[in-house]
Amino acid sequence: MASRNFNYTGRMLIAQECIDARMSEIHLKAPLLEIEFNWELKPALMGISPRAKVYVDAWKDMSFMRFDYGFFGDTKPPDNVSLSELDSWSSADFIVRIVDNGSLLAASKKHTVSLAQPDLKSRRSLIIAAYEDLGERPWRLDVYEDIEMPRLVFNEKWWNEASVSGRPLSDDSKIMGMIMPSVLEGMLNYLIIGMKSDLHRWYDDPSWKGAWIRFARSLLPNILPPNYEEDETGEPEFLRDASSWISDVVQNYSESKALTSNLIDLGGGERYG
Amino acid sequence: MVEFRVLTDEGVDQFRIFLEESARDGQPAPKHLLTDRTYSKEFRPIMYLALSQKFDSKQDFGRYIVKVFDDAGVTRQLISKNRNFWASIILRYFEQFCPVNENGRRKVPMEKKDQYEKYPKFIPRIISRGGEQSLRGRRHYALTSYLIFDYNKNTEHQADVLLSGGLDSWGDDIESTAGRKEVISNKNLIGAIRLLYWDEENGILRRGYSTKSRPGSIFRLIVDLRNQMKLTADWYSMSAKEIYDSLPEEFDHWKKKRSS
Repeated sequence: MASRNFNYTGRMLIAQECIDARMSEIHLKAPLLEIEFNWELKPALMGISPRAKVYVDAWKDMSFMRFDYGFFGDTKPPDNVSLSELDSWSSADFIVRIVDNGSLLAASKKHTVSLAQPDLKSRRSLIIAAYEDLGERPWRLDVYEDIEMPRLVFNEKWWNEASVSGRPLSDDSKIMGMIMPSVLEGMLNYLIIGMKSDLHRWYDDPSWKGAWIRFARSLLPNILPPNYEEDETGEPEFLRDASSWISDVVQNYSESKALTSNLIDLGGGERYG
Repeated sequence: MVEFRVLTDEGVDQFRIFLEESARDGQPAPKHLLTDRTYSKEFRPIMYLALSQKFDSKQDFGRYIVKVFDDAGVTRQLISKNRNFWASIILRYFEQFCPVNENGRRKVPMEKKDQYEKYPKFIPRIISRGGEQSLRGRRHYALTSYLIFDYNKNTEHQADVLLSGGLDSWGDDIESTAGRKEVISNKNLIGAIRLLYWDEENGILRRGYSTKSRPGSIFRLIVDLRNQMKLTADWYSMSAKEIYDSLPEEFDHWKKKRSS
């Protein structure tokens, strides 16, 4: 039987497209929860008093933090957006609330950000970790058109060994730092070159596909990705431009997280043999 | 002062065997596990505990343990998911968490139906959600006091209402409170709880505050009313007095006691 929920409270929903959030890793410190708002994407919100307050409530398990983003009419991130008080530094849930004198005027639904999920325009996660018997292959990216969610599949022997040692792979900055550029590259190769996606249309796609495209665009905001035209003679040019754009995105991703510097700091520069 | 060591999994198993087989008979706690290299290991950063420390209340314990952690540089992230750490803390002060009564026996609370951890007051129950593990702190004698105090350490009253009573006095009220992060992390709500139920003159909680069938009980406040109010109000941004003043009529009984 179909059912509907009715909201009699007068509280407005802050739509997910108004919120652009990401969790940024800081070497050996708590990650940052960086959020930007675009209220204009939800015109109904524009009737809210500019003096109303905007809060972001973040939590993980039993830990909780509130961030004060100032006034609705002049939203500013607080000086410190570090998730230092949360129990886990790999992911966090959060809700955005707009409040006026104790009255809740608007609230978002719960969102989740994690270091492996760089963007949350979609209500769903962007990639999920899994493990399988991969023989001697350490990991694999599973992505195809009808997949509900792309999967980062680890070799189960490796996964189990890491879990037993108390350092799950998904929490291991060194491992993830080495893997994520290739994951991003593989994902964009699939979406842009493999599927020859219409990136302008997909930018607003609510699924994981749109979320990955938006994340990539945020890393290279001043250069539009190439568009594929149904013209055989233009394909080599498209492939060249697309590969170049993807390469620049991955480069900027690596720079933004100082991946190589962090790997060296984490002991990735030791010599073997 | 002794350097704190943390039980290994085998050490926790031995502690559980003691709880199951010997604790009720008043046998001494197996504290040797905490020095035996087979059953315990070093903890880093180094942390020292005073063996002779006596705790008059859960607040007293919370205050002490938070200071020990702060002095040693032990962060919340290091310990909030560490089951063996919290089992070790309990074992270290076992006589206070589970004292021998006048008959030479101990009351050892257990959860018979819990297939994962029968003694969650002493050994935190591990819960897995979304591929991540955490601890169910609300039933653990030490972790609960730590969580509540840590959230409220910078307030005037430092959660004295919630953490009143001895280490072994434990009711549904504290479990219900500690199990809700939106309660223990909201200093203003805890302030409102204090305004409602705390007998300032005698330094005790008012009789009947946690009787579930009673109008305006603490359960009505932190469970039913809070769930209802959070749809329209933001108690985090309201002062304790503003929350108190906004409560419906069923809480008038407690307000009158305060003003009388």
